[in-house]
Amino acid sequence: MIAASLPRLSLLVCAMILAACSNQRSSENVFTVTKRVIEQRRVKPVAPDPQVVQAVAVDALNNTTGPVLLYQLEDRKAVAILRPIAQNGAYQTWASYGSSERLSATTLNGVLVSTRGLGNDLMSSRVEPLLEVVARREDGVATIQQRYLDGENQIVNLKSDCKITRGESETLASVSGSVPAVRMTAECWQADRSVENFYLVDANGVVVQSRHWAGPTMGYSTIQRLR
Amino acid sequence: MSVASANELVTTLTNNYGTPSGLIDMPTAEMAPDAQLSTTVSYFDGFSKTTLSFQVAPWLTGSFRYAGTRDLTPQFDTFYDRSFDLRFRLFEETDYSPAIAVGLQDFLGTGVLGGEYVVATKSVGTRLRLTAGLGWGRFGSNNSIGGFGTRAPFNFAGVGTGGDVSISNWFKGDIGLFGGFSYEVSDKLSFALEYSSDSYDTERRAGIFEQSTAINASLTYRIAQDASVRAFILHGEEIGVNFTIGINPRGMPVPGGLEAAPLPVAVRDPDAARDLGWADQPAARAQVAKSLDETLALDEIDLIRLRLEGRAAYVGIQNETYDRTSQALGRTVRAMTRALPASVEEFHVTLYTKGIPASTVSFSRTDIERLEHKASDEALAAATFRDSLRFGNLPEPLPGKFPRYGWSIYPFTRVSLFDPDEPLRFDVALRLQGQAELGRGWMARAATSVKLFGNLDQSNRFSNSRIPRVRSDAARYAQSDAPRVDWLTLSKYQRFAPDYYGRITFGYLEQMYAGVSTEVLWRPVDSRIAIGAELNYVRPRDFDGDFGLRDSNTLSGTIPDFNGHASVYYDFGGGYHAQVDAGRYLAGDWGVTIGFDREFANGWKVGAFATKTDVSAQDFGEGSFDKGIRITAPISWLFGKPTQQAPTAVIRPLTRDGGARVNVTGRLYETIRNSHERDTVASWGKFWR
Repeated sequence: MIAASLPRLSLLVCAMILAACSNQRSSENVFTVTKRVIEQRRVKPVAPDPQVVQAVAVDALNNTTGPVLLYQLEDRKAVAILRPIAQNGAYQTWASYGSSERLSATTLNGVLVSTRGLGNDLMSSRVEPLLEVVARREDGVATIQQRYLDGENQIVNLKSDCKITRGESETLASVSGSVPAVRMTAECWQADRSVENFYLVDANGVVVQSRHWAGPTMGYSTIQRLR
Repeated sequence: MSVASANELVTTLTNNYGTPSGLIDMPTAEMAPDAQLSTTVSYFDGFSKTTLSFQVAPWLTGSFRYAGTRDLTPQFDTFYDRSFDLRFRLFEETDYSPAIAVGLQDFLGTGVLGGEYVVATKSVGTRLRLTAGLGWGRFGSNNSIGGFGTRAPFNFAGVGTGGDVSISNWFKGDIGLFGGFSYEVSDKLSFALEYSSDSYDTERRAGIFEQSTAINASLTYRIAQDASVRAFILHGEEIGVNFTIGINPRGMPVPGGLEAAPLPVAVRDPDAARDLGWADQPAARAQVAKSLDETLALDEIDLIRLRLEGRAAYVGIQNETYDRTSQALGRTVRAMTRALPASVEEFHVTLYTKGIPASTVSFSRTDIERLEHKASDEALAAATFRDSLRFGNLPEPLPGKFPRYGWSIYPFTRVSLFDPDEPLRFDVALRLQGQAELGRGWMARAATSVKLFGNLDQSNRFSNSRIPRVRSDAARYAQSDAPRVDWLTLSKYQRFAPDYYGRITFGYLEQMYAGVSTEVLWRPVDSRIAIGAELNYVRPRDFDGDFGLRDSNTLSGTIPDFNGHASVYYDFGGGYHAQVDAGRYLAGDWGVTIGFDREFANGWKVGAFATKTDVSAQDFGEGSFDKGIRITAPISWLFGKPTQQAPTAVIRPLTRDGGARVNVTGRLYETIRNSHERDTVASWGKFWR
């Protein structure tokens, strides 16, 4: 049986090479599925080379005129230089500079409110109560909401009760010179976890740098305004 | 990925019968986490069992099992047997009282593993679980504490056709007392000890099992969250192993999916909305149409129809990329904000499927701009779903969109299960498949395949059917190695009136039949219920899969030309779905099919079906009536990438000639339901993805 089926086995090899041979979108079969599952298992987050990140940042600052952000997702070791792509009221949507990957993030006064294309995305947030206190640079309390999708595409609305404390004054170095800012700390409690965020706020109430917890699988997201 | 809540008595471990239990041979009142789908393989000398269990609801487990026992009866080398179980949790555990469950084992098979039980399990702390129960049948054959009524004992002569539900025997005869405990030493390691009320009477009589004690013990190692391996000692005489692996459709490797970011909403300049200048200029209109087409193409959504008015846009899309319609809809309206002139305030998106309009969803552009960064239920509140024909204003077809051609080459398998000579046989084959969408509901599909290698042709189990051989000649269809025509059809889909859909399919419909299939369906766009009717004219195809047809006369009767059904579909909500079909089946038998599925908003479906027709159990043969389970697994769930591919596996314990139907691709209900309100809303969270 083996000998007789040799030509057919060679056809199978062709089939596996051709596995995704199609003019149709997203055509998967048993072999491409297996291959992709194996690939998925292999992916481990690797921190990008800081020198490369700096080179991209310099390139962005030199070749664009608008705002530029340095964005980090700590747990995933992801770093990106972001440039604005859309504005909707006070919401600013950003995409990565120097990359054709379709990833985006949206901020409200320099604080992350949603992501797209990163997986386990933060769908939307209601952080206005916290931002009001933070922008005033005063102590206070606020409740925020962050929304995700679960495995059945249902919205999970995570509520956090935050206690906001005014901290030390700091000076932040930036492209346009040094900026005096105040460090605002927010301790936020959820049903089964507590996180600690911070926001550096300038005299106009603008958040120039933030470390904000973005979700159970995303962890902390850091945003620093480069310009 | 676990979705169990802390206060429920759940386990991902299973016993030797593959049902959720921390014990070894004995059941417990533990349930698996809701929606857990597990496969268990257990083996000890000469005894093997493979079981598929599904936690249908938090209080209900269903199982299907294939067991092989060597030298159980002189008739067979190995006695293979299929069986079904159901377990119900009657009471949840509380601080002071145990969980109580009742179970029916092998209630729909030969009964060789048959038994019923009532069992109580109580957790003590977080690591220890104590179980005690009363068993009947198999579970009442040892440690009897009395009994009432009489139970027909299992014997091979009585196996007959199997598949009878012998309700008269349930909870009758001797009652056995059993009990045990399981203890988690660590997250990875646990052990269990039990006192068995099963004396393995049939097996001891066959001389293939001995027992020196009624006590069983096991040690279980958890390899991963949903996988574990167990070693056990049975009755002091046998050592065996048990392996369980599970998957939970409610959890997803990447929850919510992983896809390219959508284009953001482009918000209009408040002053620009008054500018209607473009609407009178053909060149400007053509430019707008081109821009929208290109923007949608970035997201792999096909714009097939368009009408632009000064203040309204009517857009017809066909989505063959996103498995969740809400996502295609969300991306379409965002593309519209980017491409359409500022004066356009009304967005009307008509969802086309197989060339026919299934529903029209309307938004105001201001709402889309306002709600982009809000919770998605606000966008849902701003959406209006309507039947496209009732809505009326259908856009005109864009030129040059049809015909569209698609093709692919892919390897696939044909599988034959449960042949006693060789329980698993398969062929690996290569298929060339193509389709042409001709527009206005016309579709042509063709596929040819060639076997690469496999052993399906080695089956010599030919039909002994007493009724027309409509399916039982399967082995003869696997004999030829030559390329075959898998299907070759021309279909027309049609809308007749609001809520009504029609289909006619002509050609080589499937492996065994050619003919004409016609169907009508009534389903309002927001309805839980749908009613359909199908009428088919069929002729059996040649065994070698070429273009020829064979005579409808078979050795045991004539295959009638006509068959068909009336169907009722009902969506209970919460993911439970039922379908009832009544009519004339392939062999000319009349009867009813009942199907019940649990459907998940991410595309998974797990269900069971049974058909009873006027063919007697005797004439049907082994199995008594047609039944099976079906599982649909969306590829998008696995990778997170949007794709509409979602293969379905149908497992029948036996395929016979009674209650059989012709396999027609593209039946109306499944074709249109994704574009209707209920299914779109079920995963509305993906609207802003």
